[in-house]
Amino acid sequence: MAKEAKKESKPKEKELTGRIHSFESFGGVDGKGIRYVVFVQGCPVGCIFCHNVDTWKMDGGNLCTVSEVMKKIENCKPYLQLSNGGVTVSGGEPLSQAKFVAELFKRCKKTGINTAIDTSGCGSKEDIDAVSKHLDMFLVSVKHPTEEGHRKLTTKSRDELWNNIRYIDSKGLPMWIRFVVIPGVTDKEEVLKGVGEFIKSLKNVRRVELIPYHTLGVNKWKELGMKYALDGVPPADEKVMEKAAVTVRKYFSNVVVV
Amino acid sequence: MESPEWVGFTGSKWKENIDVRDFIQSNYKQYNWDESFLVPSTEKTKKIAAKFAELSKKESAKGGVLDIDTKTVSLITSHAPGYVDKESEVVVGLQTDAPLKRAMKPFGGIRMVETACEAYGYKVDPKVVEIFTKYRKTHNEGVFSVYTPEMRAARKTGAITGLPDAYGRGRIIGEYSRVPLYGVDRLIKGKEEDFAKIGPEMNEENLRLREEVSEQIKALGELKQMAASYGFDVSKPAANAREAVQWLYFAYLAATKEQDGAAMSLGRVDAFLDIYFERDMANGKMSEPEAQELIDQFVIKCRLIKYLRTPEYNELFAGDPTWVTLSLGGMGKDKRSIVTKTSFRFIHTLTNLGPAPEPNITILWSSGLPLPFKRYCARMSIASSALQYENDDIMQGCGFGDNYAIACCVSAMQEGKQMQFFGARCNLPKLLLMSMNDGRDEVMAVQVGPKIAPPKEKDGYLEYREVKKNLDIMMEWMAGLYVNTMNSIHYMHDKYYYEKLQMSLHDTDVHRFMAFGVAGLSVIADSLSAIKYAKVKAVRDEKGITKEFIVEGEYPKFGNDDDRVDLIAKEIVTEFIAKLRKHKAYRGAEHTLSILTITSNVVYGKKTGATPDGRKAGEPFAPGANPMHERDMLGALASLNSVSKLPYSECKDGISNTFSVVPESLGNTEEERVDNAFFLVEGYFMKGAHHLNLNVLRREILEDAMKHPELYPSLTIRVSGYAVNFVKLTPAQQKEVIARTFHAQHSSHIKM
Repeated sequence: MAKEAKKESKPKEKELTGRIHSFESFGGVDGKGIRYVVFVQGCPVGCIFCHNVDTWKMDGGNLCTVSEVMKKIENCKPYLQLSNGGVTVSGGEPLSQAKFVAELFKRCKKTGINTAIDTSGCGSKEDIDAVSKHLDMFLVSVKHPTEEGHRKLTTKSRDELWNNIRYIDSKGLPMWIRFVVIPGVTDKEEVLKGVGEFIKSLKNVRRVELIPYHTLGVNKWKELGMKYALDGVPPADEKVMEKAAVTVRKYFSNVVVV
Repeated sequence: MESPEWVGFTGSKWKENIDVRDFIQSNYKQYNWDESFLVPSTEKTKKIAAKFAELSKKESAKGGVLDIDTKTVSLITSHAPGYVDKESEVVVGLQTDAPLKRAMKPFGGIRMVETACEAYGYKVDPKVVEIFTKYRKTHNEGVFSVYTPEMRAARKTGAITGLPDAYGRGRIIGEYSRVPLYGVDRLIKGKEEDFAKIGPEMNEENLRLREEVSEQIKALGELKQMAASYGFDVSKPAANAREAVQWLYFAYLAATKEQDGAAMSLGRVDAFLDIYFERDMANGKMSEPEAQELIDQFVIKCRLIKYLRTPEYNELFAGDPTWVTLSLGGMGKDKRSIVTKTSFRFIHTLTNLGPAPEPNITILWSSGLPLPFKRYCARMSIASSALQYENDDIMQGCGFGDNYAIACCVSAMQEGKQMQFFGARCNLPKLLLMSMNDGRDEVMAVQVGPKIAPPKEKDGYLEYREVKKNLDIMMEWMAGLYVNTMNSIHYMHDKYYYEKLQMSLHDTDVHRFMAFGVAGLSVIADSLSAIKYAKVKAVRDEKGITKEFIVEGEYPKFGNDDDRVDLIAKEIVTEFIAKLRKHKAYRGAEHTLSILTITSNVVYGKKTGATPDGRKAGEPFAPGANPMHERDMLGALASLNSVSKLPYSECKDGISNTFSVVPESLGNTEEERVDNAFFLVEGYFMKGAHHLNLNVLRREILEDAMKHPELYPSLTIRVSGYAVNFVKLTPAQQKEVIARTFHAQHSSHIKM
């Protein structure tokens, strides 16, 4: 109890705070170069394959001020700058804390640190406007190309997120698309074609990352007493991934299997 | 004086005086491009490599030792020539008359030789035992004849540990390249001139030096004899690359026949040998495959170097290591990189011959090194986990110049100009516990240090200020004891087991370091942090000795880039070296400090009671300067940042950090992984850090290797300061390696 209280009372007056799940000072897989990754707490999308289910709760995590986070980031500046890397805010859904994220990015840009956001596009246009102001690139995850499929995998409608992704695209910033290939669910030819077509319709995609579904996060669902809908689905193997890549490459050339 | 073998070489200073550095600087050719020129092994090399693999297999099957010569005392000239496969060998010379047959070196201590032989089912010839007990005093006997009861207690309890008092002290690098460049006759002449100048007063210092130099001259004569037995005349300089490699290897081999120091390092020979390769190639006398053949076979010869050790030694320093440390790259004072094609050729042996712990390839890394070389190193780290990196910029900044090499793991010294008295290490967490237990050892319950009252507590909790006060008293006492112990050891080593061959390849007026060490830095830092920022209760047994510590609340832990604790670690090392400096070191040596444990962190932990950070009794320490396992929660950079705050200028004998990263977390494509690995090293060193062992591997592979060692005969991993063959580690060491933090985006962070 004492510990919790300490966390809550820490932030100084008035300075903007964010709810943080955790930090990863050496991110090699979330954007260009070496990234300092800030995982924010809270996500409304509710993907059934989510790995970071412990980041969903909107009131969890630790409150941190922008300055506190900036201090951590600035200590890693040589690595981030040498490698043409920077900061990536992931989560959780960063758009849910757009004000905090926007302020963090502003401070990053002020000291010359590249900024990226890892989002599903779930937020308002204002949120997107806010975070884009001091942003260098988007990492956008696409879930499923049909309304029905999207509803099965998440709590959101496809159109809501896709309209936002189109809006993100209109910002003219470089964008990497990420898509999780789940055997028997999203590895089907028509699903991949649908995703490919959507990617093709966007103007600023620079790279597509296909992420193999794996089961390392399943335990967390159980720990939180939640039912895991994909029980029994095997991790995507190399064969599945290569096949998926071949299909998506028909629509977009720079496809990386992660 | 011009020698006919020097035709085509430029410069003058090095011709007048023994000055290999000047020769290198005047003649080497920078190579700024990539690895595409490298070639595979020749058929001859493949034959030798196959033979070596077969012998190693037999050696493992026999329990780690293939054969021991129990009759002949090892000297430079003691053994008849030996070969692996005479037909295919382009570099010859073995420590005994047969490959992997180990020799006895009883000058350091006969007991160690006897114990080692018995452990492997051999018995030392009684005559040898008689000589070294009845007629000839050993270094070991010398040291124990002067040790005080206090020194014995500190040694027995492991407060100071790993002391080189039973075998060779090692960590001395001869400038082996002097032999090919000048030939032995010229070196003897130089030493004779030096000898004549020592005096005229025959005081103890001058007498000792005169005796040493005369020993050096004798050793150089023996080196000629040894080479002659293989059919080579090393009295003259080497005339071509083939001879240069051979002469150089003979010089090193002679040292390994005379001495069995824990670390018998090779030095920095890449640019030196490259000059000979370049000259021969320019004259059309050598092709790339021939050059690679020489390097490959030279490296096989380095891998064949073995010493007779006891199983206890292996428990401390696992995997039968010899630390044939080979330093590559670095920058010149004139800002030219000293990376040559031969730097690449040495690293390429990891591809041609497969990864192995020896030679211990050490990259002297500078921000100024050519990019293709750095990327090649990163690529090879990912492929082999067999390289270590040391920060050339800060070592040069601390006065080591541009012709130093690394001994053992992280100890820099100028080639031919500096040597060190190896000083093992002090167990800092034990010292902290001693300061809480009236100077008694917490495990053996015996009095070791001064009797001081335990730190005053408040409401049953330890108080930071009081604990620090006690620690300071104990540290002050330890510093004095430690210096005096080292003085005793090195006085005796000089007297009974002087490194005459290695010292003959140094300037007579040599600079000496006394290299002290600490173990368990992250444990003591976290312990003090816990006392300062959380609430810690000491639980004591009926004798009043601490048995357990109860930690209430959170505290900042070393490895999370948090100044509150990182500065405690910095303060500890700074205070300790300052206290050591107060006590005069033998022969005017300069005090230095290392934060390095190699694999001994496991044994030190085993011998140390529970600590206030919550670590249980017997649990391993983290190696070197590493944060404790799994306590670095903010990822790799935060962990590296903490270590980079430790001041190299106060720890000039090196700050070792062993870093394990899962390949997938380095990047999403092969090229991104190479880039990120490269930037990781570059960034770490820009932060002023000193050393990085880079392991790129998955924990599951190590777990599998524990279960099926036969499937992983050459799985090499970096531990603190050197590489080991994983399957040769003890189960306890293997478990500790697996328990270390593997930097990966842990599962909550894997993106989906």
